[in-house]
Amino acid sequence: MEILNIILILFLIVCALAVERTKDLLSAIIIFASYSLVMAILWLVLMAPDIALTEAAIGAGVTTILLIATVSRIRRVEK
Amino acid sequence: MDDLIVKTIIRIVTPFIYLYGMYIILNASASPGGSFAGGAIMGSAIVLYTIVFGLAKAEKKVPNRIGKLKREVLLCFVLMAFVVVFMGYDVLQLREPGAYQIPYGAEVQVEMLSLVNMGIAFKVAVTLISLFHVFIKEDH
Repeated sequence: MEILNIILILFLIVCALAVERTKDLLSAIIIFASYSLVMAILWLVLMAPDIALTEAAIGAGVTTILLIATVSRIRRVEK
Repeated sequence: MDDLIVKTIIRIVTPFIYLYGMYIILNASASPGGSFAGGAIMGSAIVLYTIVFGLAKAEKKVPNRIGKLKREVLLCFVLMAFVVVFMGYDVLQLREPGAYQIPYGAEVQVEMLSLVNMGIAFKVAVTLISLFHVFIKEDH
């Protein structure tokens, strides 16, 4: 369980850094969705299924859709 | 999105998303989840429908005026309070677990708290849907 925690947190940090460094906004949104998914698994490991359910519905689902709707209205690549 | 496979799959999957959302809402006081998560899941089903079938068809399903309902959600709370009073509960004892349950048979227990949960979930779902629809509509 300890190893799983460490792997998940490392993946989380890599995702957070990648979101910041990616120039393509659509790719950044997809990476952010995977960040939310890993975060939901991590909440489940930390025995908070309540928060995990909300994170999976809001973080991975709704936020991604709203951000994609935003990107479809502005230019896709960050300058 | 004009694809037969995607349309068919969404048509099959959407009832199950609704069922899952309803399950989470109705079991909110006893199991993980809650009215907020359940409402978000039910709202995301309509968002999925909007993406696939277009805004015009989705607005026929969820008209714009539903997003402006505010009194009805408050009425859920008022109705809940009146029901509790008329059922003869002691208001000071409602903090104890299981106080809102009506014993009906051995296994089926109607949760009184579901009434409030349904109101909150309705508001969350409708807010989410109207937010997305407004966002899409400004394109034209």
